[in-house]
Amino acid sequence: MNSNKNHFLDTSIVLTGLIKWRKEEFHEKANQYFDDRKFIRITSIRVFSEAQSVMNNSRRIYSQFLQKMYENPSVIRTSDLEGSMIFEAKKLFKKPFEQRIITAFIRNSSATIFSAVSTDAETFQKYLTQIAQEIHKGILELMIVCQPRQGAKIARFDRCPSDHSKYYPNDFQVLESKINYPPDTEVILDAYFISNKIKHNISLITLDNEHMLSNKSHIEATLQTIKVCDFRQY
Amino acid sequence: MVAMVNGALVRNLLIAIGEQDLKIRKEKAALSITWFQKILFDLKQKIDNKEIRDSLPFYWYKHGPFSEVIQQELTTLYEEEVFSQITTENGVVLYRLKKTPKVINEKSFLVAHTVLTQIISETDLFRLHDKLKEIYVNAPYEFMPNYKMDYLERIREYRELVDLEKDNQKFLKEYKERLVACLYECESLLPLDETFSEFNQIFANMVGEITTFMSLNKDDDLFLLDECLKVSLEAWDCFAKGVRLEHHDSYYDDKVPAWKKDFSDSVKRFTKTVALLNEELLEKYSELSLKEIEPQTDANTIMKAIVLGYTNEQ
Repeated sequence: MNSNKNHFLDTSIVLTGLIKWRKEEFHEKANQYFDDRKFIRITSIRVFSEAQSVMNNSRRIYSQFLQKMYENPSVIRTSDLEGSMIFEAKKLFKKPFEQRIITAFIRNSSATIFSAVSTDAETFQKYLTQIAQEIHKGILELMIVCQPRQGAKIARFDRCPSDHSKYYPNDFQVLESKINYPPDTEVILDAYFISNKIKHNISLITLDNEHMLSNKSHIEATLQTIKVCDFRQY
Repeated sequence: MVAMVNGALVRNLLIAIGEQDLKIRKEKAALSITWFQKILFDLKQKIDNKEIRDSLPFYWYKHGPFSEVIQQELTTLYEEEVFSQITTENGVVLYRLKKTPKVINEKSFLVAHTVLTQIISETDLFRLHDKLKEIYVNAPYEFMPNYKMDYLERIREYRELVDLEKDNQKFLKEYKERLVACLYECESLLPLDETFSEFNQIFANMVGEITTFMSLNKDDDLFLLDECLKVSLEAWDCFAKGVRLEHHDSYYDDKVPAWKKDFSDSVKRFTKTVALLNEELLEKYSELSLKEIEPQTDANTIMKAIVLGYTNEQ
């Protein structure tokens, strides 16, 4: 990655840290990374809230989708469970974020979904409850892993400015001219704000190609204390 | 074209309701404005007469179908001393017919009067809640009866039970589980219309906060429980402003731009309230440890799907 000891984790990494899976692929080292004592892992309250919101809204999207399928299971073709469900989901959810979330869910669980929505009300409700409980545990685990104290698995920094466009107006503008996505610019400036507070360089660890990794050189040229790192490289 | 409202007809209908109330309940007669609104909404659903339907323009709002015309005409009748006002201990204003002015028996009114009498004879005027339940069955979104008539009632009741049944932990735990299940069900019924897109996101965050609190609280933090109740009520008020935009008679079309702004401001306030609740919960449970949650199952398929979806690695 690089020699920085201090790592700022974005939402994708915080969420990845909550699960243990796909050992065969690049996340194989996720557990290893989160157990590696060489690094101090930090994040901001903004990233924490985003991670919470991703989990909450995934639950909402799943349950809205399941409800619609339960009301009308005949739209699902048994010859193509996944394709027909994704087709229906895209009619219901228009936002790219929502479509990504529901598509991944269907790809992972199409047979279980079909069985839950084509059965009786009690079994269907049980499935909804199971989903809600699993996500609920994820949210509690996030609260445990990510606390505002030294020694936490991920130390949460709660005092970053809520609006960096006022705190770092020039840097915000320069970053936004290329990134063009204020929520991620705010996260990048959280990392910068924390690096200034602790007076150390920080590696911003991410899986985000769209706004962060693709703008690595621009971000690093603008914010001298920040290195943008791809989690896959760990 | 905006429909023409016949104010005299509406006044006559209000007087007819007051008369029926006096006839049935005698000295106990006195109805809240909500009753007048709901009876006339019911009338509108059951009648084809264009003049009557046009004279009763409604929109869905916080307490169900609401008509500004009815509100205005009832106020006029009070000012003209046709109705008297009685204020209950809870501050609810009730209207009782004081005198009966001569009613012009127009054809439309005669048609309506028969149906109105039928509706009132089939209604227990002491039980507004039952009437509301009946009306909410036909609400524009399935979310509405579930949230308003089920979840909000349960959380209010739970708040009272925490005081009354504090020694009965088993009962409270079971009640709380049903409350949480009810909230999850409401979330699954949120409308998918674009109008509610932002609201739905904040609502999901609210559900996360309330269910987190419910699972961690040992029924001792009344301050945060009250905050959960308040945010639940605010969610309903906010949602109602969105429903009003989507479900109103054309009579109110010129109000839509102001209503849009009202809804947008309300969503912003709701966002702040939920964020504040989040801060309060994080402060209270800043020392949360693994002991307090059950371990994750090995399967963990749901969380896996969330990460794959968020990172777009399908």
